[in-house]
Formats: sequence, structure tokens, C-alpha cells
Amino acid sequence: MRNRVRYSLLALGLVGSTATFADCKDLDVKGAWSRATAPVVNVGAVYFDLTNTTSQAVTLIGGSTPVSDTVELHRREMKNGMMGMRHMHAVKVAAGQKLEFQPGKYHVMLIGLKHPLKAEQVFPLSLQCADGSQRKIEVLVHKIMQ
Amino acid sequence: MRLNHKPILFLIILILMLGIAAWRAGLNLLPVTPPKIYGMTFSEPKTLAPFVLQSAGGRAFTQKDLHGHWSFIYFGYTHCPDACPITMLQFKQLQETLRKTMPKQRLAFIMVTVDPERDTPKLMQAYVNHFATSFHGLSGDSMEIKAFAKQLFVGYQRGEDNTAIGYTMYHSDSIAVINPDGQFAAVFASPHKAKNMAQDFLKVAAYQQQRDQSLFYR
Ligand SMILES: [Cu+2]
Repeated sequence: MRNRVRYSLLALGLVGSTATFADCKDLDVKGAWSRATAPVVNVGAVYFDLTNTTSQAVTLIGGSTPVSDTVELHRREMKNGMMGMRHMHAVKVAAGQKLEFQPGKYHVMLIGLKHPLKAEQVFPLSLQCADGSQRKIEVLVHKIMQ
Repeated sequence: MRLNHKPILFLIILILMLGIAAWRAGLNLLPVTPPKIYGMTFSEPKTLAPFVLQSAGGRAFTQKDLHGHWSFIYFGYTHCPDACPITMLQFKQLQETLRKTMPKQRLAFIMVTVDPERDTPKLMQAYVNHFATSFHGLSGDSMEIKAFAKQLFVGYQRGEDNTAIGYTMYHSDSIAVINPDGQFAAVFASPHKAKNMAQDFLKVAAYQQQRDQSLFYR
């Protein structure tokens, strides 16, 4: 309801972008998935497409999930022609910006898996923003993906 | 004065017959050029220096284990949730594709850890088993792995330790292709796509066959 009021106001041009308050829970997150993991590994990765449909920048700082001890935001990067991943303590998403949490780009890193992730399993993941707000999503575990 | 043409004629016929015989035997008299692939095919395959890695069950894995079949070798580590599973899944698809197109070809799919500190041979085998039990997971002495990787143009180094996994690893993402003589024949560059790799492998194998049959290299 609050959203609808805000959008109507926006449509009427009654509120500027600075007047609205960006909340992590308003982030558009689509197609969250993860891979089934080998029983011997204790790490996993979560992927999705994230769009900041709010009118202000948000800053993601991490997350939490019941399936692992720790959740970190990681980015794939190249260094001296070698590939690696970097722990990002803060990922800023500008208003209207789309950020791909997909293989080769960003991923949400699950560390200290309590059980291996099994195909068809769905688990909750909460993305944490710097202002304390959260975006709760459901992650579907795929058997085989690219 | 009459010229005797007989010896010259005899020589021409002899050369022609030898040429036809060589051609019929599938031998090539000319040099062959390496195919263009997504990566690189060496015009001359590189013989590998001896090495000793470790496979599960306390068995050594040496250069001798690369003889008699083609091998695909990838370097990664088990604390890698992104690039390494992707390559293993591409390996699996490549294996399935080549089993159909080249059912008689014997192939080995190998993953060597760049993180022997955490990845034991047993852990590596359990890791690759998740993708295909026919895959080989290898670890070993860190100096041996480093030297072996270097021979295959693969580099790696430890990354930051500001993560809950302890530390990350940076590593080359290429795949080394080893011919049945145990020689380094080609490199597949990343990103790896099974479909491309299957096509490229056919080219690399065909080039090897042409080379083997060419008198130019004898
Ligand atoms: Cu990661």
C-alpha cells in the first residue's frame, strides 16, 4: 500500500528522487539459483539478477541463510592473467542499476555449508544492506547448470 | 647422336610410383599446419618432463599415466564454488559428446589442485566424483604441482585471506590437452564451452593424425 502511494506520487511528479527512501526489501531479485554441491565441499554459490528499482542507491554488505555459517558477496576478477574471486565488503547498486550475480561476475558465497546442497532443494537467503534493511529470497538448487 | 632416354624415364616412373604408394598408405609428404582453435594448438607437441603427483588411495600419478589416451587437464581447487564446478560440468558434457562422436577414443579428464595444503588426493577424487566417477582428482607435493602446472602454462598464487574460507586462490583457467604420447598438444582457453571444445578436439586429434602420417616429420 505504501508502495502504491509512493508510485502514484512519483507518477504525479510530487516527490523527487531524494525524497524517497530506498529499502533493500524493494530490490528486484529474479531467478535465484545454486548448484548441487559435492558432499566433501563446504562452500557454495548463489546466483540471481538484481535490479535496484528504487530511486536511490543501495549498498549490499552480505547476508545470512540457515544452510551455511557465513554468507559473503564475491566478485570474479582477473589478476596477472589468473582468475580468482574477491570478497566484497560493500557492493553499491545505483538507482535503476542491474547487477548480475551470475557465473563469471558476482556470486553470493556460502561458506561452511551445514549439509550438501541437493538438487530441487529450496532454501531461504537474506541479503543484507548497509542501512540494516534486508531482502529475503528463495534459492532453488539446480542439478546441472552452465 | 642418339640420346638414351631410358634411365630418365625409369626415374620418373619410380618417383611417381613411390608417391602413389605413399599416398595410398595414407602418408603425407608435405608439412601440415596446426588448426585454429579457441586457444592454441602447438605445431610441435611438447614432451613433458617427468613429474609425480598423488591420486587417491596413496597411488602416484606420473607422466606414464598420460600415455595411451588423450587427456584433458584442468587446475582448480575445492574451495572454488564458481569457476571450478563450471569447468567440471563442461568436462562432463565434453565427455558425453565425445563418447558419441568418437566412441573408440580413450579419454582421461583430470583435475589437479592448486591448493594442496587443503586438498588431499582423497578429497580431490571425492570432489570430481560428484561430476563423474571416471574423472581423476589429483593432489601432491606443492613443488611438484607448481612445476607440472608451469609445464602446462598454468600459473597460480594465493589470494587475499579476508574471507571466511581462509584464503582464495588465483589460477589460470585454461585446459591442457595431452596427446596419447603424453605430450602437451594444445590449450583450450576459457570460458570453456563443451560444444566448442568437442569441435576443437576433433581438429587437434586430426592434426595429430596428419602429423603422425606425414613423412615430413620423420
Ligand atoms: Cu566466492
